[in-house]
Amino acid sequence: MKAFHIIFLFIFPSFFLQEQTLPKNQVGMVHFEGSIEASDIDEDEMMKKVVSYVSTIKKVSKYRPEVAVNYQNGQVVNKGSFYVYTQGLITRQIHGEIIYSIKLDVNEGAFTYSFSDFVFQYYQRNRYGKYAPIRGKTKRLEEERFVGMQRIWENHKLTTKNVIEAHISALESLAKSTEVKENATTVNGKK
Amino acid sequence: MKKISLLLYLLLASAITLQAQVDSVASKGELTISGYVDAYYQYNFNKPASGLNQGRIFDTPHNSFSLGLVQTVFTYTRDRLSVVADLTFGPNADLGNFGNEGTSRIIKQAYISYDVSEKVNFTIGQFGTHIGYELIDAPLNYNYSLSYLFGNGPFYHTGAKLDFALSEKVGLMIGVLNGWDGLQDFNDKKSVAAQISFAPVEGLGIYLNWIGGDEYNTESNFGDSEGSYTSLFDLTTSYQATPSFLVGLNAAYGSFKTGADSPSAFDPWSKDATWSGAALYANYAINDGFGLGVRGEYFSDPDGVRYFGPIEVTAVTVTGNITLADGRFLVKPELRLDSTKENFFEDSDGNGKKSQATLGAAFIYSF
Repeated sequence: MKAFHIIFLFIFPSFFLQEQTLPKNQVGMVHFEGSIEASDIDEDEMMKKVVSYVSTIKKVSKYRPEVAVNYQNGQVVNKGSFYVYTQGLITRQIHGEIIYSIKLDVNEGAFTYSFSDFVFQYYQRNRYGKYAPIRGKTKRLEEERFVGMQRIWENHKLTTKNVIEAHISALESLAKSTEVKENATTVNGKK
Repeated sequence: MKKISLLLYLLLASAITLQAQVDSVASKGELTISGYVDAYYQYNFNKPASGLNQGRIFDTPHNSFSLGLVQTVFTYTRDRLSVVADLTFGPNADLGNFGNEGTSRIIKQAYISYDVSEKVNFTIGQFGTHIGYELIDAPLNYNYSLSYLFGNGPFYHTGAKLDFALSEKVGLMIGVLNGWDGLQDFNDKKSVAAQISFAPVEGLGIYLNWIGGDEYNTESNFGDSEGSYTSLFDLTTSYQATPSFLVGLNAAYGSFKTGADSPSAFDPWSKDATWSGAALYANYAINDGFGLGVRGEYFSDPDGVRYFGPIEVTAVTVTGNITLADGRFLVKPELRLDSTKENFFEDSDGNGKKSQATLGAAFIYSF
């Protein structure tokens, strides 16, 4: 009976997992949005801080578009992405990349944030032993089922939630802080 | 040859100069250990007297539970540097690293790779070939049994190469290699490798590959006539049309120009020869846990300068792909039908046959 339980756990680990719920908009797409009050900081200074922060958001690919800033509308747009992993026998291994869009609108006394368009990009080890994207093979984060990998899929959603919530916390801190980072870095980490 | 080597050195020198202009991105090094174990069973309906499936590279045993390969890949990446040690053991490792002896036999790949700049990468060591669609690594192929194109192409090279990301959609590789499937250089001649890659639309990858050089040697598969020249052009493409459906195409044309003074009926390498083939792949994932793939292939080596002797063959392979245990355990049931113009396969009495059908299943665990 014990052996049966071990086999069952080995083959069907997805039976013992907790489904992750991510915030969604009216049309059912994963969407983190909100407004942060910044009444102590003037609009220009806030814009500067927001651009600085959004520019530092990490992206995996070297070629994704850099941050787009519209000073007239007070809008900052960018793409972010991060690796998600599976735990191998000894070390973690890249399973894919979560890619998402960022939009921030800076107004007098407040700014709004929106994180949307979450997509999982599948990765695989390539012929040279390195992990690389499988071009064109993606899965939207709204999808609930990942047959055979449900537990990992829920972990990826949890990781996404943690990453985005960390961004939101950082933006909230930004609104409270009066210090402006002068040495802004670009998306690729270069000054 | 010297000119090409000089060009490569100049390219490297200019790339290193470029590197000085790029700020370093400090990061913690990361070691990844991965690999797989695979085992399979295959039944040949011809019941060959020798007990061996004909026309196969790795999966040769008939009606026998067989071990494929045990692999461990160590990948260490820190800042711009990557070091890969891809070690393999077992029957398929012996076949994949044929010709090597001692501990060298377990090395499938061992190389150092350095990002000279964001767009230039330098690699030196022993690395998998850039030629072809299919790989030695069973988890990375859809079909378990390997194509004739795979079996008749190179497996690995030892040398140095430069990869250039010309844009987001175009890449270029150029390398100088000891030759085909050799740890050491069999002669004082180097081969040259090149690849141009295109990604014109999302999901489509097109790779135009080439390798050429004088590979004469008494131990090589290209005869022992000094002054010979072997060239192989390869087209490898895949298009992920939807997240569930992938089509792929592999085509190759190889030519061998002999350096022999006169042709001999007993030596296939004493006269000029060509070989070619094409394989079409279509894979459909019904869901993340189950998919079905079909491969249709034609291959011709009329003069028998590659592994199987003179052959003209067509093959159709249908493979199921069942994913279990968080994607780590793959089960691949497979049916394959091969047919040739002449008697090439073997029946239960040891006589020649024009066709061969096999049914089996492979079990692959990745860790």
